[in-house]
Amino acid sequence: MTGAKKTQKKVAKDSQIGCSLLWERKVKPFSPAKREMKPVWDNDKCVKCGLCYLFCPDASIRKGEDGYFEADLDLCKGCGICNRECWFGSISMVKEA
Amino acid sequence: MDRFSLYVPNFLPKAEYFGKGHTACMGCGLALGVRLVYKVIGEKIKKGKWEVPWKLGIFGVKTESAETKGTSLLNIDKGNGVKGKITICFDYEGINDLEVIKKHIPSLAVAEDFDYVGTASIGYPFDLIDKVKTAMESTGSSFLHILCPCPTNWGFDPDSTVKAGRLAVESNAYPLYEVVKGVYRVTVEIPKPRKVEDYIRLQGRFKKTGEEDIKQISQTVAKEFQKIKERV
Repeated sequence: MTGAKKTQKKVAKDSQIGCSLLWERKVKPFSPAKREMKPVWDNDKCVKCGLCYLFCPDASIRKGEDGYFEADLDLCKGCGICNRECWFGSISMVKEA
Repeated sequence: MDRFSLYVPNFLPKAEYFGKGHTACMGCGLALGVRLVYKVIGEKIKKGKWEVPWKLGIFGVKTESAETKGTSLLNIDKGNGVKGKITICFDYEGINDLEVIKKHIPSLAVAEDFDYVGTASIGYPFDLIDKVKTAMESTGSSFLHILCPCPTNWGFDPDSTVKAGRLAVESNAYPLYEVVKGVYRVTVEIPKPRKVEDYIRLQGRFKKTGEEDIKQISQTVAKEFQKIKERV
């Protein structure tokens, strides 16, 4: 019982939104290690229609300060729906370094 | 005109109640459907357990009954002085069982005397949002059936989830309609339907389906669509 309680305390301290909990009382941050591709915007082609925002299943796309869209890479899984749905071809998928 | 700004999100509720690091696969249709539904009804379930979805699983209540195998159901009280409940069935066709496929869930709901029954697909998000809104505002019990393509089960690339949802409607395999107290209305009408073959060939789970089977499937699709058109 004491072990379980300790684990709970530790998890509560280190965990963030979107992390994954491991068995060895460790907390692993979400996704970037697993993601293969990430979306990159070409702002010259973008018309700010917002279709990428509408169709993102992870709700990772948000409007930046300059009015163009960008992906929150903590949430993005690199599925490529935004790339497929963009009418103007302003999004390209780049391999994760 | 050098740069115009249409900005789709102007027509949407801006708050996000779902999607902060859920554990669904990439390109999940169900996650997208849940997110769009929560944009409308999110305030009502804010205090509920779904605010932290990754911890409790996004697939809601998994049911074992024969009619709703391979789907997930969501029951919510309407509140705001409107009596009745709304039941939303997210259908990701998880089980490829003939007995399940043969049953047409929306028509079962119509037979059960729901006051509002609607079908929606994630390929047509504004149609989906309109239907959730009308379902929430109408009195009495209401039922929504949402088709959510699943890349893992259906076997297609994760980037063509929305395309699959759109093809299902464009080929009349999954017509979008609503039934308000027994009156049918087709909400999205397709002037030139596409071939059912396009929809089936997209999915890896129909890899072994021959051309004769596809002919048969397209005949049944036409028959089912004709049934709905007669009831309008």
